[in-house]
Amino acid sequence: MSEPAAAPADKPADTPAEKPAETAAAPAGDWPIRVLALIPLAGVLFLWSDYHLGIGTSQPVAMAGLAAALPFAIGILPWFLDEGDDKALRSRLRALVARRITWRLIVVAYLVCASVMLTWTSVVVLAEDGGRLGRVTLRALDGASATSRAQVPVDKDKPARFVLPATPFGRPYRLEVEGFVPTTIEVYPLVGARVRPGVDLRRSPSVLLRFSQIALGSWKDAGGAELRVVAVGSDGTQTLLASTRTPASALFLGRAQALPADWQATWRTELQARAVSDALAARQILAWRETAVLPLSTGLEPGQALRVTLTNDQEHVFARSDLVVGKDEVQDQLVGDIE
Amino acid sequence: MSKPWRTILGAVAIGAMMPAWAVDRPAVTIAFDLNVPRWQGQFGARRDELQAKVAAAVAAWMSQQMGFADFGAGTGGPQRLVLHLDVASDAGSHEFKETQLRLELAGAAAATPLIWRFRSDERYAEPTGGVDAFAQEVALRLVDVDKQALVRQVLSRVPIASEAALWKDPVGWVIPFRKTDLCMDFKSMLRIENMLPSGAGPVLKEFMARASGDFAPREAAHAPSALRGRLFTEPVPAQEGLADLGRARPDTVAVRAVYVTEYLPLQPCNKPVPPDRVDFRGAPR
Repeated sequence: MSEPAAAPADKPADTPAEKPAETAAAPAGDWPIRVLALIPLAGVLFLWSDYHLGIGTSQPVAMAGLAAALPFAIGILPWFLDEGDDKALRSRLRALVARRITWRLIVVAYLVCASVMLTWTSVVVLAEDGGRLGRVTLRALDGASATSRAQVPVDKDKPARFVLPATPFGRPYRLEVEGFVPTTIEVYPLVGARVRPGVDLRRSPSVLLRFSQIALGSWKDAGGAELRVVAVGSDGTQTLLASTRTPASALFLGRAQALPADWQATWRTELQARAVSDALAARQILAWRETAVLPLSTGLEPGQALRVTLTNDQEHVFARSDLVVGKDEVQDQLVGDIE
Repeated sequence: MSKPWRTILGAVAIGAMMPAWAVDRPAVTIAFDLNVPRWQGQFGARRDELQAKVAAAVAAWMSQQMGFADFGAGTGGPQRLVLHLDVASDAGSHEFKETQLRLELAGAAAATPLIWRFRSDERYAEPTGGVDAFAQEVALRLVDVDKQALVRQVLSRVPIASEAALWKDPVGWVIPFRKTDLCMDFKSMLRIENMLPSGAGPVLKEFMARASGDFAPREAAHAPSALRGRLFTEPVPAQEGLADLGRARPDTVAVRAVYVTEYLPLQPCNKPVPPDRVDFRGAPR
């Protein structure tokens, strides 16, 4: 950049008093170079916008229209003007560009763009092919007052995109994608984060709650009962994950999964140990195969302690089970009655 | 002593001992004890309500079936019949337990308990249906009880009277009820406790007696009018001590208590027999 060399040519642009002389003469100096200097900036801005804001290649029609509109306009202009007017218009345009696009403006534009690119970034959670993302929640971990942001993409294949403030040194965020184990990601400017849940995240484990026939009988009894599933924190605090009053023999916490083939044999052994007759055991096993899903307010995490209780209208807890979520994709848990 | 003199003396003794004979049937209060932990928790604070409802239903049923006592729901009174709902003692570690009803007379000496099934183990897990439905279910299970066993094993420990008149010709006792008072037909069996004189002083002697007639002696003038029409019972032959009873003077024998051991209901008992209780093959059920 040789600002001083360009100064004589540009001088009139910075001094309004000399404007009339400038319109007459064709602008001279390095104005084409200055215009060319903006092209990399525009390119980088386009890429950044495309990558972080999703504005760019994802709107191909709009971008192509924009790219075609300017040459088209310049190309058809001579048709409507005679040669003299055309030359005068071109001259005025050149003068305008030469006067406005100064090296100072270019430097400022580069600096502004650089600062935006270094302080804003994005996290994009991509939907699996043909799939639809569930609820995606993101929360900064380094700010006490940071609030979580959530998105629930409604369209198939549509990603969840979060544009976030960043620092050049990165910023940690907690990412929760429905159906997957929450994780912490470090988000840096420029590169941001692209998350493909099926590849980058672990699927949330599911727990199959099996209710003994006795517990189920009490659940179905007059007055009904409420099933409550709470997460028990290390300090004993309890967070309600789900509740229902609709009786079921077996409920999946988390997503439904196929029952492992060897479970039935285990169940039969378990029933034998509890001295249940063959007929009752068979009936019980068939009932347990009819599973339903109990939606949870948040996904399960390995190591999470859960307490499952059934409480009747007399506030009597007649069935209870405590468990710790394991690392297996699906876990089996009996909820028996308390006597 | 000649027979007429014995009759006269006996009548005098009876007249001296029981001038009025206005005796009420024994009051028996009935309670229900829900003793299955699973259902105790199920009913929670409504357990008392359930127990009261079942007790009332049982009292109504007993009043209909057994006329020799006055049954009512409650917790007080000297004679207290308790219906327990328990887990069968042999249920052990079985998850599905049989439940059973057990009837006992509170405070009475241990006897063979009267036990019958409430729900089989397969039905253990079924819902109760709430207080009203469960009370009804318990009441319905009363039809399964062996009524003769109920009298023999439980109610035979409830004294229906603490007095009776010894009659010498024939030897027997006049109890202070008409058969319609107790709805009790002839051939019902009673157990009568007597204090009989002996060389060592009065000793307790028990005799089994069968209700055999309404007291109406030929020498009507010698029998107190209060005794007329009351149930006359005769001892079952060949009992130990029966000869001593025959020799004893009536005024030296004190009847301590009268119990019913076999009950034959009198039909009709001062009221029409409801159609559902009529056995059209012959007698009322």
